[in-house]
Amino acid sequence: MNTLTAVALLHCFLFAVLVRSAPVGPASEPPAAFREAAERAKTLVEKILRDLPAVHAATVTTEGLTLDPSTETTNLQLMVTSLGIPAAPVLKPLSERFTLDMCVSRMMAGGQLYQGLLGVLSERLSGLKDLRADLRDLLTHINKMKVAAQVSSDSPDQNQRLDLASRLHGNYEVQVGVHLTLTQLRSFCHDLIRSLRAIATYRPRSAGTR
Amino acid sequence: MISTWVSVIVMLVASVNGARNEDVIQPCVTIQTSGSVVPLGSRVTATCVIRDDCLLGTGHIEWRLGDRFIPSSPVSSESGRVSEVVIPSFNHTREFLTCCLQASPIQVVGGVEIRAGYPPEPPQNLSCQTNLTTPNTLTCCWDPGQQETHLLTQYTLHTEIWDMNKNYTYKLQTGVPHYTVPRSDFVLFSEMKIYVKAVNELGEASSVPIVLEPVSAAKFDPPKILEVEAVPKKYGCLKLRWSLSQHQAWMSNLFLNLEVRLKTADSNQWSEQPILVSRVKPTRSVDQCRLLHGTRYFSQIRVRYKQSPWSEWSSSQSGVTLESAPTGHLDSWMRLSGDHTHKQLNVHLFWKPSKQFRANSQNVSYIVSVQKLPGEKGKLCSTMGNYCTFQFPRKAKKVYLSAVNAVGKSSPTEVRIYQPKARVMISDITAVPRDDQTLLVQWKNVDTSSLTDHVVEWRPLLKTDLSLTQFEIIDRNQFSLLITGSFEPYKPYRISVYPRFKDGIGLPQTVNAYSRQKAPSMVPKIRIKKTWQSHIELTWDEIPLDQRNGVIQSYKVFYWDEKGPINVVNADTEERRVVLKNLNALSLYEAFLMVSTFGGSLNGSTIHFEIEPFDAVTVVMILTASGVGLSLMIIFIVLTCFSNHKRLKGRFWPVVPDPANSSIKRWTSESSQETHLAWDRDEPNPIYLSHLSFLDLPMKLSKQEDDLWLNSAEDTSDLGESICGSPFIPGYSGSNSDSVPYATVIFSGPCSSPPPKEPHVYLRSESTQPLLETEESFSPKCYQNMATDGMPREQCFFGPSHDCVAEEGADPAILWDDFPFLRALAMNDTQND
Repeated sequence: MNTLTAVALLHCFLFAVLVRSAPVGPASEPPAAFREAAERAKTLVEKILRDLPAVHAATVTTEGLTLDPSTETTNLQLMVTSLGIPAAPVLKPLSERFTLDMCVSRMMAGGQLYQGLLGVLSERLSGLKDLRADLRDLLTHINKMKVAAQVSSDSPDQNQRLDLASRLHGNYEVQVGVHLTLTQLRSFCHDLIRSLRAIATYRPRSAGTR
Repeated sequence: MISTWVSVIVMLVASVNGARNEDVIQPCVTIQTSGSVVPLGSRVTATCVIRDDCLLGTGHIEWRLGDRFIPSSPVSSESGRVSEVVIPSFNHTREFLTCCLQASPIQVVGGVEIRAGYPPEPPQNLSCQTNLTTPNTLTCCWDPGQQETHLLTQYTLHTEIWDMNKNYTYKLQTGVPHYTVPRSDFVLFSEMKIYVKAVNELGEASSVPIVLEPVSAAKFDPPKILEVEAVPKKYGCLKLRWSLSQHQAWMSNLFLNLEVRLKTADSNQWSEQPILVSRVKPTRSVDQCRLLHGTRYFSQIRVRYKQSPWSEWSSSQSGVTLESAPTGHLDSWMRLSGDHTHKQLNVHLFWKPSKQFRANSQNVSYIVSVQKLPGEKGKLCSTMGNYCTFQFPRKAKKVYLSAVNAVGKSSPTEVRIYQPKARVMISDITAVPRDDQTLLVQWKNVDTSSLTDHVVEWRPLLKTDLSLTQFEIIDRNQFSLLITGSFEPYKPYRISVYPRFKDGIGLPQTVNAYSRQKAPSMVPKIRIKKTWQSHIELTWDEIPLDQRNGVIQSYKVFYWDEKGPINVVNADTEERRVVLKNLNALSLYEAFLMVSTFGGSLNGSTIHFEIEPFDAVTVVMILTASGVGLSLMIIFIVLTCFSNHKRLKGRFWPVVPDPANSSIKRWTSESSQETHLAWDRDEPNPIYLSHLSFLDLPMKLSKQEDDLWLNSAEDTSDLGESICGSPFIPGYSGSNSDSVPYATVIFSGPCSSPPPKEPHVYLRSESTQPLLETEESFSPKCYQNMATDGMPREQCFFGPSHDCVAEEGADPAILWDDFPFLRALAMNDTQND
């Protein structure tokens, strides 16, 4: 009798464990397509980061404009303003306040921003097409992430108008424009890498309620 | 179907043109065809219509295809003359069909061009490869098909990128079956559909589309092995740390497929089947297990993404697995050498790893001991090599062989000491090369019942290093062995087969073998050993072993003189000599030696020689023959002389005694005896004795008596041959006396015959001649003349012969009384004595 009771209790306990753990496992994991897209995106960001120095070296020939921040002597803050190059969207560590949706949306917005800038600049300068293609590929995969994560397409930073083309009066502005874009892109890529790594290991508590 | 549509369209166009042209210019002749471009070999129909109001003559309408008339049929029509032609099979790729009027000459009224060909085949074998170096591109190529369409065919490459919802079409150059898509037109990690379409006037065809992710169509650069190291506490495992090439390091996040191939340090070949490791990232190391312990492995890797082509193999890196104690037993072979009668035997023990043996270490040494348990006591030798030589351990029947490394020791292998037995069991051993690395050894065995097994041992002959000795133990019922190894070509190897019994080891049979042979490196110099008559003997030294390059098959001597043909003589390979016969004297000969192995022949330098007409042997032979002939002749002459001595002597040197210068002297019986003995030994059977014979007495005795010693010797010649009487004979008083008395006793018969009845006649004489004094060394002690039958009268000197003495003594009184001088002489002699 006691044995039967013990077995019955054990069954009840095991059942309870199973019932409790069942929804947590699959729901907390991001979908495979999302993870795959994030991996691809990360790989592409790595590629962009690897290619940036070569692209910079090939396109920016003005002295003093280098990618290495330690040798950066010229303060170009005013040029940033005058050329109207917007700042990249800020990517923060994932948290309840800075959700996955926000993160992916900002990734998308940043990618689109730089693709637009590179599009304008590549009309004045050769050597940026491949980088632009890489950025396009990155956007494709961020978009896949968005689709996989069912992120709403509304974003406050989207459709930011660029009037860079009208401000590139001379070759120097083009050179500075390319330099600033590539420098900011590199910084944004570093943020992207961090965010993508965080996304790969992120387990949102509210995943099940999404 | 296509041709029908084309013909309809052509008809429509023709009719529209006609209608439009009615207002402007009405063409007199209209030609309508079923199609201007038709499949090759298809049926073509054409109609020629000539308006009635055109004054083009009244001749019949005829058709020409190119320059050849073709049959046609007239068609009744209200509007004018109409002719229709049907070409059942149009076999021209391009030809003009003309409508003509029969006239003189024929009038061409119109014509059309008809082209024929085939619709395009679908392009085959479409494949694309991504180039990941800068700039990134995607190159696709295909096979346009074997059939010639005879028509201009346009190819286009189509891509569809679903992620971007974009399609691209690239117009391709004719005859260039490949295209490179720029980076901007493909997404590295997005699948895309690619196909090639071919279009010509007769139709279109598309290739089978391929769907690929551009990165999966990229051939990666060879990856790099950063380190190969042993996995701690895991025997037989190696850990490989690796990375992609520097340019492709950005793909390190991808899951890649990796193949690893390994080989041990002493192996020449990589493992046949590489080890596939799926879904690995370069950030993680790869473990390879189930490897030999304590072994250095070289490894290479290659990489691919999904189904992309494999990269080339990386460069090699090596690592050593963890060591463990040796395992398994060793195959061994023991050979004894030295003097086994004195029990001073050297034991050569060779070993090699068996199939089960694992050294489990890179540094393994071997210990031979008389004791099974490990220890310094009883240790015979310790070596890193594959053999060991030691003195035959007394009273030991077994030794123990163990492998030792830094971690431990293998269980000892028991090795029996086989005593040498003088038993020959192996015969007819042969070794034939199968290829450069293989020799087939075969032998026969007379009796296998007592055998336990065979041992085949081989080693390079030119190297003395015993570690190069190899062996194989063969079952007793097996009589052949294929030995493989790194046999150096043109170098001799000594192969021995030993029979082994339960109680010992028999005598081996040995053969020398070459894996490959060639002509010798040198030819020995021919030496002329000797020449005689028309023969010459040539000889030469043996070729040194390291220059033979093969088994000497034959020595051939080629020789010739100025006129004659080339002669060839084979020489025995062991003797290395040859005798050339029937050579012409005084001819200059040339000769060279050809040495052949199974791998080729080499000719030596040419020597010249000549045959002398008289060589030393001939001269010796001639001299010998002459000498022998001469000797025979001399012997014959001497014999003849002896046999006819008396006669000859009598003829050439008549004996003339000189009684005037002679006197009788008595010889003692002693001297006569002595001479008799000596004489008797030499001449055992004297028959007659005679002595001085004075056939003619000189006329002037007194004068000769006075001047005998003063006169020259010629004057004494008349004395004749004074033969007997030596100064050494006892009783001889000397030669300085003025005169020597001689006596002649004349016998009436031979000395040996019975004494005659009648008394002998004595003649008294005296001579001053030195007589026998100067001839003492040449003259016999006693002189006997051999009487012959032809001598009727014999004379005997009274002294020397017994026979004579005996006869003399028979009646001495009578004799001495008759010769008072002789008597006085005898008396004086007695007094002197």
